[in-house]
Amino acid sequence: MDRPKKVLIVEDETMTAMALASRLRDLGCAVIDLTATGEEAVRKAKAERPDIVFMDVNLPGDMDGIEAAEIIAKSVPASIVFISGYSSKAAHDRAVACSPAAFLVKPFDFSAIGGILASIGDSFRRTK
Amino acid sequence: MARARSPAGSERHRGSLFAVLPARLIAFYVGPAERNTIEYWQRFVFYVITFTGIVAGTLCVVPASIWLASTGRPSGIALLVPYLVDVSFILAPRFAIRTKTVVIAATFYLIGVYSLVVAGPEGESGIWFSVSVLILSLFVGFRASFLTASFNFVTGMTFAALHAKGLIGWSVLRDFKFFSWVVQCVNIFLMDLTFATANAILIRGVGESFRSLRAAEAKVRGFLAEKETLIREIYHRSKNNMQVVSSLLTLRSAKLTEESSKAAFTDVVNKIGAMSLVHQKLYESQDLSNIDMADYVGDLVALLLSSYGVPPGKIALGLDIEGASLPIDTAIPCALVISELVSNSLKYAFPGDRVGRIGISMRKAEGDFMELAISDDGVGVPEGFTPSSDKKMGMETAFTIVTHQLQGSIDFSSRGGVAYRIRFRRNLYRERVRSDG
Repeated sequence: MDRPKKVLIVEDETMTAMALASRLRDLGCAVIDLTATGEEAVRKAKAERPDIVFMDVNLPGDMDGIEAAEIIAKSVPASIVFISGYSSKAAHDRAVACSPAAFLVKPFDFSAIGGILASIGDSFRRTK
Repeated sequence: MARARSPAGSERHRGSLFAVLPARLIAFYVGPAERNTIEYWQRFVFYVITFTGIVAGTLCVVPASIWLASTGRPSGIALLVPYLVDVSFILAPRFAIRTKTVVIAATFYLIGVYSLVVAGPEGESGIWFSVSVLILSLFVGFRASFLTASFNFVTGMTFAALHAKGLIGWSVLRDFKFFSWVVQCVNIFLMDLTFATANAILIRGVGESFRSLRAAEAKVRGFLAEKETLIREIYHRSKNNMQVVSSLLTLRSAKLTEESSKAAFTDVVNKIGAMSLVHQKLYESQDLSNIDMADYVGDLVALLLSSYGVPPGKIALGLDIEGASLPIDTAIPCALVISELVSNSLKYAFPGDRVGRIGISMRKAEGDFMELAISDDGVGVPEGFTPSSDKKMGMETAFTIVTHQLQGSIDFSSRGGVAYRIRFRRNLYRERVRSDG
């Protein structure tokens, strides 16, 4: 049996982060932590080595979600799922350049999370 | 030993004597700083030139006039009278610079004529004539300067003709050459005309640029006003939509029979109310980015008191919020925290007929930090109670919002009620759109 997927949530809206964490736990994931800044996300990802990172594009501080994802991708083989409140083409293009597993636009449907996890699981199996 | 530097204040003070005073004098005459007009800069140049002229004139003309007068020559009076006339006109605030320029040009012309009569072609009449043309081209217009240049030329030629006919005699001149004088008059006329034309083109061009700039500014102001209206409309609609959601939940909760479900609905409705109030305060305020927390918290607490049906007189409120405003990104989570903690006090701190007090204070701390304190003098919490992991009272959410979203700290104490001290950064975000742009 597969071990639970380790998930890091990087989302500055607390209520959204908590709701997402609850949904992921229901789906059998191990939510490592909720973080709200890019810098903290990079530290946590390097220390905990998650399988999946749900990453908000807009984050407080000097590092946005895309920059954080680029740094994480260099050292951790985690699947990135971007979340954004805005869906401009520029943001989408920058995010796509990071080869994310998915790109969620807020307000997103929590029921879609299961499908995203399944597709990530398939790609894991194919990789292995 | 190093010499102590003089305080910056005293340096500023010394500077003010020589720089600020003339600047203020010019500002008084130039008038309100409507800098995007050619008229402003014409006034500015006029007064810089004329004030410099007054200072130079006082140092040269007055002593020279007194000296000439003391030697019995009329030149002293001939210089002093037009000088005093010009100074009087320049300093009289009620005349427009066009009038002042015409007066100065006229006096300069008269000085030029006097110089021509007294000293002949070797005098400095050409300079006085040319300066009169130049200032007219700068401050009155091309037509006036062109007419004056022509008039000056005719004056010079008239004097030459009169001399040729022997009607006037320039005693100082032994060898007057008529042709050379004509060439000199033509050259001066052409030079004056060149400068007058150049000035006319320059002033017209700059004036048109300023007009374009003002038109563009007006257009941008129009766009901004339109954008501001749209932002207000969006805040208004957001608030109304939240109101609809809140109403739907209230309607739905009315059909519930279980008390815990009803309480959960009330909690959610209150949270929506807190966020909706932020949007309301934003569209009501002049500043569309920040809300005044004193105004906001007063309304939020009133909303919560009404929502929990607190009878009048049961809870005394102590609000101490001054000069605290928050941007929307911080205001929303802060609103949720206040709503959560005050709701807890209203629900649990004053059971039965117990009366008490809830205090909320907020102030700007050092740097960009804010300090929020919420307290009550109610029954307090049970022994060993840990608010950060409390799920029943919902404090976990408030603590998570403070540490996670606001990236702040929250201290909790429970001696004779409860007290929370929250500290967070006022502005957490860079420009919102940047990372998408």
